[in-house]
Amino acid sequence: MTLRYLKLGALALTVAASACTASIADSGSDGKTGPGSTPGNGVTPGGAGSAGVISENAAGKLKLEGAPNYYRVIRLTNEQWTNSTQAVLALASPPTQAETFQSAVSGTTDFTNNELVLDVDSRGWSDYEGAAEALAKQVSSDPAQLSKLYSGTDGAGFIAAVGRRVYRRPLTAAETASYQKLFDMGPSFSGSQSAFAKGAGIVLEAMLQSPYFLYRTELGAAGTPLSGYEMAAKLSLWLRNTTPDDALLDAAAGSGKLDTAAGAATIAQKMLDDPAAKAVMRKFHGEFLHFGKFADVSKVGVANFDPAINPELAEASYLFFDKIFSQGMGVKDIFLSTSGFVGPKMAALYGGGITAPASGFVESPMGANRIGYFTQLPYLVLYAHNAEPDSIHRGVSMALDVLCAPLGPPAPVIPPLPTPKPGQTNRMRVDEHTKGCGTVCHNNMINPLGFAFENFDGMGQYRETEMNGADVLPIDASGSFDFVDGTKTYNNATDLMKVLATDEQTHLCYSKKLASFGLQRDVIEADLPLLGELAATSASSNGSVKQVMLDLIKQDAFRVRSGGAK
Amino acid sequence: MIAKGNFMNRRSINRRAFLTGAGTVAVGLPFLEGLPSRSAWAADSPPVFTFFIVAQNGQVNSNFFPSATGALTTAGLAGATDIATSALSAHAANLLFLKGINYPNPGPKSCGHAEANVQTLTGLAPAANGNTAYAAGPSADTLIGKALGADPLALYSGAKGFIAERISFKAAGAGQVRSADVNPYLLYSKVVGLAGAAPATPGMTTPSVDPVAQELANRRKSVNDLVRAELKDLMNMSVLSSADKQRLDQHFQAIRDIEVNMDGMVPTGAACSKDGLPEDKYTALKNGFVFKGAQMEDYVKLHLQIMAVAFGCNYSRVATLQWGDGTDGTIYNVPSNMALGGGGWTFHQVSHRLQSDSASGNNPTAEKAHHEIDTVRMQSLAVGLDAFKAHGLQDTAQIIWTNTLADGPSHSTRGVPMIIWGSGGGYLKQGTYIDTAGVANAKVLNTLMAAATRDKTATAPAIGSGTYDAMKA
Repeated sequence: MTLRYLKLGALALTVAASACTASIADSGSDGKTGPGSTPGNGVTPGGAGSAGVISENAAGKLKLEGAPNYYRVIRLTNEQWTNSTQAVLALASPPTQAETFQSAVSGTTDFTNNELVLDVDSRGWSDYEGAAEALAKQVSSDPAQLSKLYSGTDGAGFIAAVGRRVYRRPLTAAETASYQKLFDMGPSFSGSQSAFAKGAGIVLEAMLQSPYFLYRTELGAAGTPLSGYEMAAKLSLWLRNTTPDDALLDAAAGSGKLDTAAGAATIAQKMLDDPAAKAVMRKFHGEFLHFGKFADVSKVGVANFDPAINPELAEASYLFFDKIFSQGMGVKDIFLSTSGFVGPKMAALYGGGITAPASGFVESPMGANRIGYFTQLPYLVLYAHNAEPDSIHRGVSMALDVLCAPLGPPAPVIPPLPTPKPGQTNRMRVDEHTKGCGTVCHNNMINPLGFAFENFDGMGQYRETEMNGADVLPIDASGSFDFVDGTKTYNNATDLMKVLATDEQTHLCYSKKLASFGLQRDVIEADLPLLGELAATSASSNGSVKQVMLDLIKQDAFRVRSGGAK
Repeated sequence: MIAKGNFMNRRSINRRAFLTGAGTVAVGLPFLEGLPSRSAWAADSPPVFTFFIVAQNGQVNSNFFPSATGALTTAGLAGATDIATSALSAHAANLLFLKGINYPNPGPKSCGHAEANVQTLTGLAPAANGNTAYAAGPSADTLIGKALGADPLALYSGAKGFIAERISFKAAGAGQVRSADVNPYLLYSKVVGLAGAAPATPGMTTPSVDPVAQELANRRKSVNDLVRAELKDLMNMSVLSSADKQRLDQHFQAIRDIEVNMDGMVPTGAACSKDGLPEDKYTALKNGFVFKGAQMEDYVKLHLQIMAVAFGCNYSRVATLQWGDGTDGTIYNVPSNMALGGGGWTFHQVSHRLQSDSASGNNPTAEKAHHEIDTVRMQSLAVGLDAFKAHGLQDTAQIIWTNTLADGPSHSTRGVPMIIWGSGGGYLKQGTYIDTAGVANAKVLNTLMAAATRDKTATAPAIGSGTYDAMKA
């Protein structure tokens, strides 16, 4: 397959798009190489099989840049630390120490669970030390709590039982000996606790600071499948955001189970139905589509905008994607769903008989003019300029988030959109303003996508016409876009949603985001075969989000050790 | 006795400080007493404290600094009521204004905010552009921290998510930006126990060895030894990549043993005092903190005031504060912003002179609003400088305010201003306003790093080479 890069960055473009959202990052990686390209390590990028055939143009039309390091030691996120600590210490409620931990840097990677932003520096070590000491003290000073971890009073048994949970595998003989030595210091400590409690306390302090607790590891030979314990940890930490429980560790022991693709998928299937997985995927969709931005929506001079709607817009978005995930729906449903979630302030804006309770949310049909998430209030209100549609940002967000299309850098100083001339619609003035971009940017890459939403104003309300002074002007929401699998046309947003629901590029892009989240790394051109496999599943009749995740788990990229350069 | 190991891994800490945090709140990392030649307690070379404060979105340069360079006086600054820095008049004698600093790239290549942030404290063009821009080298605070054996503190007042913390870099490459604390309570909780606290064991008059502290230190050493051994074993595994090993080594180097001493390494008196600290405002942020733009200036003041305590108590030697994010959504209640209508524009929009987060315009009312916001920000800075002065830091600190941009509408980084309070250990000019006529920010940073490390030789940390002599005393 000949792969081409359509380099847009060299052109000086006058584009009226956000200088910091319509951008291409010149990463340090050429995007082409991955562990599979390193001779001799035996890993095939994207995994075995050739079921996912993708269009030859895919590489040139997808933004596949990044700088993955393929770490084999990946630190727990703060949420994973909290949940794992609660589990291994059998606490009734989550510990609160992580609320004061340093948080992962956001905005530099697609997701905040990316390997690049999870390290332990001095500040991080200090956080972990303090938390370990506090929690060890809390547990070891409470005999009833201590007995939940281990019912006996011998050090060896305590170390073995707790160590397996903390390390996510049985301890080795050497590790056991090290901890026994620590445990034996117990009687020398001051205080009135039992010798067992004192010994247990220092053992817990050390275990919670161990790199085998703080990092998930993949330590076998390159090109070999993760061990059962390693897969148990990877699945549990991804799908349940916590450490494997005793049952899973039992299932992980020995070979021929979780170290096989089928074995891993069987376990994962059950996890995907766990409420914890829904919470994990809520975070995925929130970061993927930037739900955090709802908090900052502000409008000037818009009478029917109340900032109190902002949290409703966010929660309605989360609820939409909760349903997509938990009810076994897929990418197509993101674009074709005819219902949405409505809060009290949203109902009045929707109109058309849509109602909502005084508090809380109701799932409601959206009416004939809206299908899919992107024709619902949250997206349209977010990407708007006061009461007007922000065609350019709608186009940019669709290009970047839904299609993973690479956009060229905007001009350094972007001139403002002029006031519409008499007889000019918003579309006409944006077209005129951006025509200097030529054929490779706004005209082809951004405007066609943004103009599809012209029937929705800046408050997300549907309209057939728009006003310019006293003139009532008909709206043209038609367009065409050159997707990975060819040019397609549409008459309006509803048409565009139908196109996107089945288009190869949409499924490739969603697969890319999901893979980045699941693999905890940047996804690059070398991963195209993997994306092809996942996109094929996504586009199939069986294409639920859960099924795509299961397929990812069966791929070599997920279950075979690779690693970065030595 | 705890065996002395590698001095870079040994943390010498006052018994009071140690016991204040043990078992409850992490004591964090008070200054590492590890380099005898730069000892805090050498009488002729007291420590220098460095604080980089980086604002966003530019300022109205025509109304920022005085109209003429030269001497700065309280009366002169106070009388220049049309300029934002008039708010700093009480501190004129300890101020150094620098005008006209240039960053490596004159303006944006793709995302002006992210790229400019990356250049501000590194003095280097970004290694990658766009909104995920990253650095081509470590930032000045990191270099100072390495030289002094103490990691920088990183603070941030702004929203997380888009172009959030992006000024402190541990190294070149992706994933090296230092995470910053948004909640002022976090540093407060670590530092406040040091300030003016009574000895942890009342009644001890001439303590020789405190058994409680010693037991805790021994215990930690035992745990640390086990953890270090595990990290070493991991690092020796041939399957790990160089990146894996580097990451584990960073963790390994971060682990500190404690040598508990009885000496007063923590200063006493006004230097290390919580007098005047609005403690109720910090404790109100303890639970459920969510950053709100409307409280931007309040949070900044809290960050500044607790940093004064942190420096005064020798808790930290170098820190950064990013003031706002790249698309700052704060709506300032200043007259001209309110005159723009509809409840006012966001600061980012004001800086663009257009109610837009992308395009730039030339609305004169927006420019007035920006100047009024500059004044509000300088008033906040003045509150911070008051605190630094109250802790007696004017001769030992260099509190550096600058901006990631020279100009809001153009996102230019040509002609960035810098305000320095404190002489940096006597190294810097005071009471002066200088036009640098386009000096590279790397040279200014090199000068500040030389002050921070009290090293005027070629061994001082540097970005490229050269310092800016005109700012030296």
